[in-house]
Formats: sequence, structure tokens, C-alpha cells
Amino acid sequence: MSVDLIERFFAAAEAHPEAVAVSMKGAPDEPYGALAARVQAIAGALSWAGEAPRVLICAPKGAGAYGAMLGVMMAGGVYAPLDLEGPAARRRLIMEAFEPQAIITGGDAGVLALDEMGGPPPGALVIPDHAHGTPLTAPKPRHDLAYVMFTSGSTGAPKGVMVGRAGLEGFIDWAVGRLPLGPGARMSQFPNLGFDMSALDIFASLSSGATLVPMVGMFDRMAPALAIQAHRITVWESVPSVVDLMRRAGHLGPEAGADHLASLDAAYFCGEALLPEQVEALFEARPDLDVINAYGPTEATISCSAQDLDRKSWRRHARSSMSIGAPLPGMALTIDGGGDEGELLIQGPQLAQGYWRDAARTEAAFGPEGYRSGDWVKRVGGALYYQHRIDRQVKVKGHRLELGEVDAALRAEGCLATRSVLCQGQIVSFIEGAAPRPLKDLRLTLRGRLPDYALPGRLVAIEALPRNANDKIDDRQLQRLAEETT
Amino acid sequence: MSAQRTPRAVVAEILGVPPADLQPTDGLLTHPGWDSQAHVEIMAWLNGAFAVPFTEESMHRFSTLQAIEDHCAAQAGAPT
Repeated sequence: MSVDLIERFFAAAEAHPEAVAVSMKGAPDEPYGALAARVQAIAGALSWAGEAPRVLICAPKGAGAYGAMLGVMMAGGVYAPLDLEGPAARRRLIMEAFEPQAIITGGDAGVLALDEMGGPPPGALVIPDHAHGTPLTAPKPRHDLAYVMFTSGSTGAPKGVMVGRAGLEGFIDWAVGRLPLGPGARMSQFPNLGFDMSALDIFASLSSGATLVPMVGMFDRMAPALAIQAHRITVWESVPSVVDLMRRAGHLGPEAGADHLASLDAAYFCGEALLPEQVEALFEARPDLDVINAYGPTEATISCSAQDLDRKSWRRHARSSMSIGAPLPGMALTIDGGGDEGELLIQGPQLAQGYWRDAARTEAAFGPEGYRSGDWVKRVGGALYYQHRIDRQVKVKGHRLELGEVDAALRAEGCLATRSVLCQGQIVSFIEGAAPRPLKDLRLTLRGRLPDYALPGRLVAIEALPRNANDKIDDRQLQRLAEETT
Repeated sequence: MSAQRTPRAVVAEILGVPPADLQPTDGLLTHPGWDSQAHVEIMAWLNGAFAVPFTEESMHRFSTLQAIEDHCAAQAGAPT
């Protein structure tokens, strides 16, 4: 039986009230005692939103947003976080789908973001993340769900993954035991709040007495090795491509001139394939680093398997990418059809409870055999290795993206027929016939509909999209065309 | 990369495009190839060639070709 997250947090706050819970540049440190008071105040304010409220969190990274998440749980509610750096149109789609009874805003950025979304829906309570009022002193009955995480949907509308509270707590139990967390530890908070990996940082750190350090601004996000040094980070968590940023900036190798990772004890990677060259670069910089390669779709609550890596043995787990490791406690990974290669099926208590208000999609993805991940894997020597997706879902800079969402955005801009492919990490969108406006202008207007990582790197006008014998668009031919024209 | 090469040539090589295709206003997130990975590489070149530090301010400041060219021109004309 896993430990209740709210109990964990308040136990940490009671044991270390003066310890810094959140340390963010440009803001005063927030001790555990103050964060606990914030959580209770937000939970108290949410009593006006009814029983088991749905709460949208419209706040940037920081103590306010983290306190809001815990406050919603304490109030017996379920939250949906927003990525404030994403386009307002997408945030609005999430708000309309979630139909929140309350919205928690953080600072000017949160208020402005809500305004850009057209304001709150009628009847929704708007609560600032520094709410004052009667605090809630005892948690209300738990909601079945912890959060609804909206991810890329093939139709252009984000789909909400309903993550259960018990599943999240099971995962956090494991993470707190596995990572070197606790008083004195400083954990990075790199992923944006609309990306489920952020929940690992937030809940593992704040339920262990560690200090959570939000990575904000261009310096933290683009010079992560220097940020680790500047913020004295001891536990890092991000997508693996962050290691490429460190390498391309010259901050990892001998040319770095300093050991920027000296404070680091552990690095946890998830969200995309970890590559051997990334691991090698890390161990060259820090031979004694504890590296964890984790795997998991949002539907399996952050990570459902993990592979420990150390300098001496990591090559044993390397092929074209690193092994995704062994299932976490209670989870099971099997290959569809029982062979050594096929679609990965996931079972266990961390599985999400389906898609928000979408029974058909839930039934298609969550069957008696488990969750159909859509990830093609190969078993070699008992270890599983990720190969590729079996559908049109791709990972761009660690973000999950349905290429259909890019096509839907292009159609909404007036393109009649479009098809996007991923080529060498770049999205290439083919547009059939005449484009509604010059391609460069079209890309700029897409920024109002798509997050930056989803913007096509290239827009290519094409007389007619290639089709196969069944008159379906021939993605393989488009892929070849994209490669030839790179 | 050498400091002797023009900033346009260096940026073009990092972005993988012909130098003539770049506009002065091209920059981070306005040019398709100028993403965070390319930006840190450009900053690393500025750091090596002109001792521009990696800071929040400099990473914002040098986020267009125009700003980079202006800085390099000022450095080239500075008294030694």
C-alpha cells in the first residue's frame, strides 16, 4: 500500500518547517512551513467550488503552482495543468474540454494567460495561488484521479489522460526510494507543467523534504550544465536531449574548463530514447554519476520501467538506444503476440483510468491485455529496447506529438490537404495544391495554434500528395521525399 | 570555427542553410532551424570567439542574426 501524497507532504513539512521547499531565482525561498500554509489556504478556498472539484491550474512554475496542485488534492479535487508558454488557443481547448469548476492563477503570467484564453468559463471560480481565507486543516475524501494531463491528439484537439491518485502514489513511492532525495537534496524542475514528467519532480521532491528548483528562463533551459552548477542541483530529471544541449554548448567535454556537474548525484531521463553517446558524454564528465533511464507513456503515469546505469556496466545495456529496463513494482511489460519483437503492452496499477470523456478511445487503448503503448520494442538478451512508433505519434524534443495535430492546424489555416512527417528530428509538412498564403507567413501564423516544438521545420508545396493502391496517403514516399530534399 | 569567418557564415553553417538565405531578422524561433540546440551552438561560438558569456541577458540579446552581426562588427572596430 503506497503512502498518501498529502500525508507525505505534511509529514515532510512538519519535520522540516524551516527547510526550503522551493528555491527559484527572482523569488524568495519558500520554506516547507509556508508552502504547507499555502496548500491549506488554497484547499480552503476550493471549498467554494463544490465537492471533488475539477481545477485548472493556470500558473507558471513556482511555489504557487506546486501549492495549487497539492491544495487541489487536499480539497479532494482533480487538476489539469497548463503549459503557459504554449499557444493560447491550445490552452483554451483544454479549458473547454475539462470544464473546470475553479481556476487557480499564478501571478501576472497566470492572469494574462487566462485573459488570452478568453477568460474563465461562466460560473468557474478564479482563485489566486496566494489565496487567503479559512485554511482547510484536514484533507477531504480523496478523488480517484490525481490529474488529467492533456497531450497531443490526432484530430487537433488535445486528449486528456486521467491519471489515478493511487497510481501516482505508487510511482512516487518508488521514486522517493530510488532517488537520493531528502533534506539537503536539490532537485531540478525542468519539464513544463503541461508535461507529466514535471509531476515526478514536484511530488517526489516535496514529499521527501528536498528543495525543488524550478528551471526558468533561457539560461536554465538552454545552458542546463551551467544551471546545474549555478543552482547546486543534486538530482536532475529531464528528457535525454538536454544532454545534447550540454554537449553542443561545450559544457560537458574537456573543453568545458570546469566540472559543471560537480554537485550532481543522480540524473533521471525519460520521455524519449536515451542514446549511448549521451550516456558516454555524461560518464566522461562525471564517472560516478548515478544515471537512470526510465520509460513510460503518460498513460502509465510518468515511468513504468527503469534501467540503472553506471560507468562500468552501461555498455551492456546499449544498442542503438539504451535498454528501457525492468518494470517498476507491480507493473508488467509484455510484447503483443508473445514474440521477441512487437508492440509493447503495459499492465499494472500505474495505468491511467482512460481518456477524459472519450469512452471509445479508452476502450481502444486500454484492453484486457493492458495498455497498447503504440511503441514497437525488441527483446535482446532479456532486455527490452525501444525501436519506433507504430502510428503517427512522434517525439520532438521530448514532447509527444501526433503529426495529425500539425496537419489539423494547417487545415485550420486554410490548407486543403496536408501531411506531415518527421525527418531527422524536424517536422516536414507537405501541402497539396496552392497554399493559402506564402509559406513563411503560414509558419508564423501556425505559432498561434501549435507549441514551438510542434512547428514544422519545413513547409513544402506539392502538386499532389502521393497515394498508395488503397488511395491512402503514402507516408513512406513522403518520408523519402523529405529525406531527398533535406 | 574561426573568428575570422563572418557571423553570417558561422550561423548559416550551424543552421545548415546557405548564408544568402538568411535575413538579418532571422533568429531564435523565427527561423525554422534556429531552435534551442542551434542557439546554444551559436552562443558557444560567440563565447569562444568573443568571450560572450552564457547569461540570461546575452542569450536573449544574441537571438537574431542582426544582433550578432552588430556585436561582431563593433568588436572588429574596437581599439585593441
